[in-house]
Amino acid sequence: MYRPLRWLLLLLCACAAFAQNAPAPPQATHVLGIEVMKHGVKGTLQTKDGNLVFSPSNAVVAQIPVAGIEDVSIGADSKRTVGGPIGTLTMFGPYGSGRFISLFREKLDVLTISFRDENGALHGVIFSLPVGAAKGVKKDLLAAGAKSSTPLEEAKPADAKGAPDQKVTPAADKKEDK
Amino acid sequence: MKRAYLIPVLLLVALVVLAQTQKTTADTSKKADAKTSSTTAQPGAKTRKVIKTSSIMIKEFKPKDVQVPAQFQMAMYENTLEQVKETGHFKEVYRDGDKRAASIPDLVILEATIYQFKEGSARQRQVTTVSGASSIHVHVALKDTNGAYLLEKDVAGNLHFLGENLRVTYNLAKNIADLINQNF
Repeated sequence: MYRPLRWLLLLLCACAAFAQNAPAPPQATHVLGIEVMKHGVKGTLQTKDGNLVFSPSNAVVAQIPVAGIEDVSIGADSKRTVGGPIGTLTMFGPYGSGRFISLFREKLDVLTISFRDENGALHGVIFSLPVGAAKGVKKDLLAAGAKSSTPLEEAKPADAKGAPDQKVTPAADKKEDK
Repeated sequence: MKRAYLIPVLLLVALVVLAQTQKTTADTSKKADAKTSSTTAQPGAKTRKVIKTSSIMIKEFKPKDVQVPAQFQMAMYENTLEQVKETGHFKEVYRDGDKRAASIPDLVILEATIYQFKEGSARQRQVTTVSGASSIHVHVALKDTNGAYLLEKDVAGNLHFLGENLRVTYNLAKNIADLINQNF
């Protein structure tokens, strides 16, 4: 009597294990750089068919050809845990409560990508991602053929204050202007 | 009795009106003089040089003897492009390295060198309101296609209170756009 149930349970476990093996693309927020997209749009970021694809849930999908990417770097930043208009309103709270709320900040990875389009024009795109997620995206990009002036094991974006990236002068190793 | 007071009062009023009319005529003549001096550009007179062009190219911002995180460098570049486009002075605003700009004879090139950078701290700013300021200082140079300098100026962007750290790049870009507005 319990045999069919046992099989069903096994099947469910197998499905769950399979789902865990396929990692979901990380959630990212567009900070700036994509002209057709508003700042602060959220979506998934993944490398697919030689492109870095940023797909917001209900907006135009942005694609950056990996072959044109000149530099990928990871930095650190943080944002207020209570953000947006409510966060701004809390600043006027009584007895310094707004300032107290400002103490709570969420750490972020900042992924900066510079690339050239078909005309050779330089573009810069900045995404913010949850801590640790940027490394995976950079790994995928380097595997797909993107260039980077810093190795994959670059300084971990550690403190929320936003320690400067180890990459000092990304422009220094590029060719000089004519 | 009453008429005796009325005459000096009327005289006083007439004098005040006369003085006012003389002052306004003097002001208008001064303004007219200034206008003619700026258009005729007499020797010795202070006139603002206006750069005339249809297109501009914004070069990548480069640091000089200072550490600048990549996100700030790119944000400065992208925000400046956006703000310069918004000035409405140019038919085309080209990005660094754009091949299409090679055929434009009156192209002006904007180069910026970052010589001072302080990242600051958003947390400190929001909690204390007096410390943790972010600031960027750049040297902006406008050149023609032959490399001759048209304009050179130091521009700064500061962030003292509201906003996250990258907001300082927006403030800097606004100031660069102001410089463009003054000279184009």
